[in-house]
Amino acid sequence: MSFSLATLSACAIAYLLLLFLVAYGTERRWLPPAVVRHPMVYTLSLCSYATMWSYYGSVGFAHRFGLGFATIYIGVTLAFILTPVLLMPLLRLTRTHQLTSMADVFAFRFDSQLAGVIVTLMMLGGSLPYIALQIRAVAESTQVLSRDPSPEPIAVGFCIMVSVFAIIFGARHITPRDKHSGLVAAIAFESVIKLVALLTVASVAVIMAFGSPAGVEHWLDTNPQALESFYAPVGGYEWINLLILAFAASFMLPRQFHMAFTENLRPSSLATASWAFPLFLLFIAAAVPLILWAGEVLQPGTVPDYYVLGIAMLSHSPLLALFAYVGGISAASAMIILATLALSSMSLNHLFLPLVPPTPGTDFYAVLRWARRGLIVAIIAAGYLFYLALERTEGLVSWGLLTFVAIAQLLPGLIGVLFWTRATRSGLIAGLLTGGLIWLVAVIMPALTAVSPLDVLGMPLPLSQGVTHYANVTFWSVSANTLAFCLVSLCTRPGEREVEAAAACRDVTTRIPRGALLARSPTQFVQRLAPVTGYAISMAEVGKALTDVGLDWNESRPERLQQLREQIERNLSGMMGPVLARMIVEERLQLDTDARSALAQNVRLIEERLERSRSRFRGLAAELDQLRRYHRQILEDLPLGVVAVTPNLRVVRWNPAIETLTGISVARAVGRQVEELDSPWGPFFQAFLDEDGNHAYKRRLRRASETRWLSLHKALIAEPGFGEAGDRLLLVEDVTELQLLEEELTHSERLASIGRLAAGVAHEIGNPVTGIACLAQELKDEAPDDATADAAWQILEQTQRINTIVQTLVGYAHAGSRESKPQPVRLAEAVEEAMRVVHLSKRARSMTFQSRVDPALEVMGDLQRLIQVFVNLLSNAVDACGDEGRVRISTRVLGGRVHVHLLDNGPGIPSHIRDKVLEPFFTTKAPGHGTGLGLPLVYNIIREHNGEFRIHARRGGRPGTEVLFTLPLAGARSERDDRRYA
Amino acid sequence: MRTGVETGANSASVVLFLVALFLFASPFTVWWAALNPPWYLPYLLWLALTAVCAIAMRRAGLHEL
Repeated sequence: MSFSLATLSACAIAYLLLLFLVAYGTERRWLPPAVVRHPMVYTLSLCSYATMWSYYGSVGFAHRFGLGFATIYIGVTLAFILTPVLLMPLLRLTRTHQLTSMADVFAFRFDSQLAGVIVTLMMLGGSLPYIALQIRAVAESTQVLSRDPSPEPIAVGFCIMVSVFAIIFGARHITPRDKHSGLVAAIAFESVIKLVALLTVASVAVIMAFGSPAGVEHWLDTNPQALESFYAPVGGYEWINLLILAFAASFMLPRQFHMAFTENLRPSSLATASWAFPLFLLFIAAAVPLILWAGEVLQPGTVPDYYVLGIAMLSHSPLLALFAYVGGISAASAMIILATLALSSMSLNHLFLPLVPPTPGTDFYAVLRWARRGLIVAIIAAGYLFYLALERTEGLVSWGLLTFVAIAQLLPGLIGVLFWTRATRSGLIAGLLTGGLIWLVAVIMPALTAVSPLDVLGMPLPLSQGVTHYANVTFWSVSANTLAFCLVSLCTRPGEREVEAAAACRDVTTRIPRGALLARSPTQFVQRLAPVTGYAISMAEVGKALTDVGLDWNESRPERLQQLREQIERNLSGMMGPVLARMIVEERLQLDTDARSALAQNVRLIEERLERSRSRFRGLAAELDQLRRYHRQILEDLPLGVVAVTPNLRVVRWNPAIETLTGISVARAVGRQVEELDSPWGPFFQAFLDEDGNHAYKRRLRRASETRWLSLHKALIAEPGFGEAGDRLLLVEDVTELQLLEEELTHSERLASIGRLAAGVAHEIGNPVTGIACLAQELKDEAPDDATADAAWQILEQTQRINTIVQTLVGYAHAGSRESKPQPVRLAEAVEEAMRVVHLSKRARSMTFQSRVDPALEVMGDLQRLIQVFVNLLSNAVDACGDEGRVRISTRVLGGRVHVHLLDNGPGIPSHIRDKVLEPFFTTKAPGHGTGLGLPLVYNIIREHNGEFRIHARRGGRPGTEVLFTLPLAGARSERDDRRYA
Repeated sequence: MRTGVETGANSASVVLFLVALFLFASPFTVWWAALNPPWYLPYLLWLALTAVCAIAMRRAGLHEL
């Protein structure tokens, strides 16, 4: 059977439209996102590795090379078995630093634009034969089905459709942060189609040729040479070299790198792919020998490369034949789309942008987009030209091998990226050039021209570009590459940035910045970047980076700005490659390396990173980390507040004790200037730091709600070698409680000494006064006349008065000691006695005293002292009130206690002395008219009786004084009373 | 410097890689190929390798399906 060109074109176009639909639908979320993010979709997208080479070419390859065709897939298995060691680190690296291709990786690791350029050129040159392979297969498969000798138009049409797809679905976003989910879904769909098609044809082939799977065994038994030639190349020289080629290509081919790393959504998907991807390839590889042997039996009339189509046609099912054809289209389109996307991005970063740097006036994002689209078209066009130029004598696979040998040149460099930090850029470039040269001369040029340069030099190569030839070239080029790489690396020294980048690649921790930022705020960042990228782009990038690290436009802390700077570099790296991004950031967002504040500022940064890496430490590093934590814990647990400040007066350490003391959290304090801290702490600490002295004791800090006393100490943290200009440590001790206690103690001491003084004085006065009284008594008895008698009587009165005062003093001094046990005392009796005493004075006679004391009420206590209490209180009232003064005493029993209430209608106690009336020797009377001990004595006596005493202004608006005290009710004894009075 | 999980996965993968080399890229390979085994034998070996790899990944906890 045969098909018309039109039918085949329609088929191809229909399939590609279906592809558009899948991609479009995915981007529009017709499928749930969970489906698109599934690891199997990721794995299937990786299966774009199987292109026309696998679909058609493998059968031809198997025909020539037996099981050796499977090395292409076994090599992949070997590479993906090493996922944790080889691929995961690469994935982490590319994600952290937004590297989109092997060229980016090398340019980043070796800090070399030249490395990026060379790798890009090699990849470009190497990939063109592969693209040509796909176009050739499309053309030839069309030829097989249509028997039309000139399938060129379909090849061209195919190229155009594929370019359009690539531009629409693959070149939308300019940074790798935005993934092309539609693209991934479309590629996964294609993988499914080609697998199903191949397996279908294989099944049909087996049935048609052998009847059943057992028939295959039978045929092989009767044709032993088939199995012999099948196993002949296994384990041989070519076998090993092809494994190496496939190993390298499985993840370093531009399209494989792009799908595996750049478009990766979740790292765990890679873990799934490590076994699922080889499994897929296993199925494809299993179909190949079956198709081959069936073809040998059925003889479909095509070259072995196209047995798939031949067998399909033999089945007399147009549907199968078209399905097989579409399977091939699927394989080819996936390869071209992905390869051109990956290559265009690489070329943009390493060839285009360095030559045409961004200018401020243009819309940079638009330039990137259009440049990428142009490159896609250019690359496909170049592939088409290669298709026209390359010799077609060999099978399909030989064109693919051209590419694989180029990719293999990247292996030594990869080892340098992941494992060998001593590798230098000179070594890499030397290795790449050596290997590349061999590749060019031994493989590319013979394929393009009839006469190879080696012929000219007198070293003829075999005309047949057989597998042995490729194996030789692989071995020699990679060996020479490695040798040059190692030798030159060992002979040269890596630069400082290279060393940093090498460390970053090894453990993916970003470097600690050396020096302080010159820019002081995100706005300044924008201003500094604007001359290079234009104001709008600059704003957008800084804004994006701020969102990424979770900061805002007001950020001023230097360590956070460093973080921002790093994030901006990463984002720019995704857009224009790591070398250009680094150049821009280093030039525009400069660091002042002379500023020594870097280390202290970065303490927090270093600590954060140590925390993150903590679980990964081993051996000495783990022990050092433990020691660091131990020392830090000492600071954290100190009950003293600890503040460490840089010479620029920025806070770098703020321990929990000072957090509690000031109420300022660590996050708010660290990174700020000392004086910026919340008032009053900021100015307080600043003032102390400015002083010369290193200690300040009991500084008072007034706040709205309270006063605190703090002792401050400061010390210099000398850095060895740098002398005195180091950071300072501030220790803050809260001595408020101590201060208050001291004040109370002083007060008590004063009272106690007064008491002792009073006792001494009273004792001394007693004797002379007694003498005077006796003499006065005698004088009165023997008075010659009334005047003398009257004078004597006055003397006696005055001495009596002195005695009273002395007794009051002694009573106060002895107030603490108990001499008699408490007895039940009738309160009314004490009140009456007191009133009698007070009535003796003149002033009291014009006042009214009301007693509302229950006559039967009894309290536990001492009668004499209770009389003293009432005497003092009533005397005060008498002294305060004038004529018409009224004093009322009343009682109430509540809960086992007697509440006594005295009320007078005098002028009351002024508010400013109310606190002081209970203080000994405090009196408002003129000197000589009062000791000031009345109320303190009352207070003490009531306290001894376990009562409470209160004195305050009369309530209810009228002037006067109220006195309230409680006494224990007789009969309602408590344990406490027993203890106290026993 | 890797976590315990990662070290486990690393060792497993390196061991598995060496086994794979032994099976497919060593004199042992030449030996079993010379025996002219049934055509599907290499595929079975390959399948076994893939299965062990899947188990190892799952065990190592890197696998999240």
